[in-house]
Amino acid sequence: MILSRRAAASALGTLALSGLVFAVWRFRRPRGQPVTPLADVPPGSALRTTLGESPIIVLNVGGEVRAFEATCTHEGCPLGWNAQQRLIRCPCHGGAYDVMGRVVEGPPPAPLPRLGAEVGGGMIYVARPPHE
Amino acid sequence: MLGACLGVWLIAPVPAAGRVQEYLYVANTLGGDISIVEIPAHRVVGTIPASVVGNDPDDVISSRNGDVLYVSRLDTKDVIAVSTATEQVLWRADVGGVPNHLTLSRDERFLYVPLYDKGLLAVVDTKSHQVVARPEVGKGAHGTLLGPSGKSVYVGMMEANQVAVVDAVRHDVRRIIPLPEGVRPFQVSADETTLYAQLSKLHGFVVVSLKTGRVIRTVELPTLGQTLPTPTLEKSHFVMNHGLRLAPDGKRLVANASLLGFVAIYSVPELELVSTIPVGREPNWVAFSRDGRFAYVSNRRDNTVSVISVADGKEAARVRVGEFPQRMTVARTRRPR
Repeated sequence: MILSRRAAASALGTLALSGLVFAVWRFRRPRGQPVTPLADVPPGSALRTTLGESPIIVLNVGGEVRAFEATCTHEGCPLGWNAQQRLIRCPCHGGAYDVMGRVVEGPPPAPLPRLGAEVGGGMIYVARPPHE
Repeated sequence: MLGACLGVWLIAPVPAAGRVQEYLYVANTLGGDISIVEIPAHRVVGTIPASVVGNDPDDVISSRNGDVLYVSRLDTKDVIAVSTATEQVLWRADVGGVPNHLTLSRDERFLYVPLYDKGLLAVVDTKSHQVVARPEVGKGAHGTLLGPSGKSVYVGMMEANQVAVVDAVRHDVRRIIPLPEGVRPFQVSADETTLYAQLSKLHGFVVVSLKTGRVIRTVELPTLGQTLPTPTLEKSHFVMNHGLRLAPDGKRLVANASLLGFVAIYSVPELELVSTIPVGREPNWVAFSRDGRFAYVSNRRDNTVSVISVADGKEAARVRVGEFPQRMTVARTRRPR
């Protein structure tokens, strides 16, 4: 089968565009601020850090990186991580959140706000949702 | 294997004890450890690590002779007893709810543990390590205090806006004292006629007659020219001030202004403001040295303890401790060398 010149040019163009899209996707800078190297949060662990002035917690759940505001929705206390229980814990009144930020125990009235989290170039980037 | 482990345990050296000394034990809730501050040098001389404590220690109190620390732990819903001589756990008791601020009976046979999420007061037998009674005291059971007579345990509720008076022998509720708001740290006068209580949203404290059960005075703390922050969390209980303690001689009352970062010292019983002293961020608790010369204030947002010289009305030192220091206790004991 002989391709027409037009068809060949179209195929080449599509290929080049795909390559460009892939390159942009592969090498683009993730959205948000770099907060910590991915190596510091191995699977099953969590790391408490800050985004701007606000405390946040970054989790690695089986290779998926998640980030949440780390301020308890009960009284605003900074949250910690109980590695054995795999729960985000409040040091003030015993509130607990699971790895999805849902309240599983104690007095917190609301789940934790989830943040955008991406990995790029070995770093974890965290961003607040656009409406904020 | 078991034999080998037992053998290792049997021949493991027991830490030698040092000289008797007064110490401040600071429970660092986020760090999961306990900092040990020597008195009166006011330097950190040791840490009981998170591998021994852990699980968000909420309160730490000591036996009267200083040989045992009792620690309530939020995450595991239990209390542990820790030897101050070995700094190892002696025993552990499940209490079936989120334990808050502890107190001991006069003979130290019973440990009173308010369960915040259950509205109960768990009474733990310190010999059998079992919960022997669980009287219902009200929603959000938070603080406890043994009355100076030793006959009553006072329990403050954060959500039920009341203080329950529990019989220290029969372990049942004798009386409920309603208050205008959620009850935070409180104190009882030596003659057991007056209760001083911080309330969740009051920048100050109330004075309650224990005869009538009524608020007889409200003392507002100064703001020192600062603006009081307003609650930002919609459904939060929010606490203005946390930390209130009568001096050992009963003549001074130290009150934390937690959101404004200072402590206020009042004369007792007049309740005249004697001095205000800037401390660290979010002072949370007050403890006294045994001679009453120093008041210790845990600044939980900057991981320090302020040492207040009570006579001078000044901060004499600021000591860096662990992460999120909250409750503290003073014990005179012999630490391991």
